Amino acid sequence: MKKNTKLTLCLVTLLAAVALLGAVYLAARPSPVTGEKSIAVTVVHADKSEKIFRYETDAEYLGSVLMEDGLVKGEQGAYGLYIKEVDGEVADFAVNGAYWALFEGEEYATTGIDATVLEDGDQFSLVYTLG
Amino acid sequence: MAGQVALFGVLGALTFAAKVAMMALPNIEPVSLLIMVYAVTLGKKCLFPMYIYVILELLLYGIGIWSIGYLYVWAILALAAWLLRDMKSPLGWALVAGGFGLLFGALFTPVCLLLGGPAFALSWWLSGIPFDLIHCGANFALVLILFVPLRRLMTRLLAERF
Repeated sequence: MKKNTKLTLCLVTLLAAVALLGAVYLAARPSPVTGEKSIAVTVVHADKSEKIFRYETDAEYLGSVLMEDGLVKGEQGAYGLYIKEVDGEVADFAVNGAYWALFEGEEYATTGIDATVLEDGDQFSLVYTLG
Repeated sequence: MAGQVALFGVLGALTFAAKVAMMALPNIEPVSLLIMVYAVTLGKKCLFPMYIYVILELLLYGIGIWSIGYLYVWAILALAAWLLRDMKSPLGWALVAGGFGLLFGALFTPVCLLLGGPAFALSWWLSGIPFDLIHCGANFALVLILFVPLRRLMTRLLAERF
């Protein structure tokens, strides 16, 4: 097989893989849920003290609820909202490697706070974590 | 010998600095390009600048899914580049880098499997697909334009100095 034909085949394969992955993502991503939901957010501070915040909301994403309430403050970055402050406590990675980790139930969240879709009964935790 | 040690340190630091400089751009990074250049010009010695870069990542960002994965993902790319070292086509190199970018999230799934189980690994990979698509496109473009001239430059500099 000529070298150019091989490269063309590889290019077509890569483009097909891109299209396939895009389709998998669109099919598998969680869809926003409309209607009212009850959610709970547990904040675990640096001193290990815990506070539970409960919300009744029509919002579709966690970030919008917590930002609107003022529980969370942060900066919009390339990967979405980066949480800097929760319930008045700042986690500054540049100072001591601290950050706010988001958990959905017991699992470490795989999406940012502003891309986390809400469902009725969801329970989240925001945990002050030292990296 | 001392010159080579200094070179590896500088290349590792340069890789880290280039990554930090482009950090504001999601998954658009120069590390893949540089690791590939090091692999084809330094051979197995590319492991030194590569792991200096990884150590700098660990020191700055601590231990997490990303940093554990970094212990092997760059080695996979370096090995692929070294095996294909006779290839001359810029498009061929761009395809290697684009394919690596597309698989980047999938390459971290072993770490996610160990840390959180199959559901966590699948969820991690799926939620990262948009970033993998960006990574693929950015790697493809960067390597298509820069790999061949950087390889030529590095080969000439190594021949002149070592």
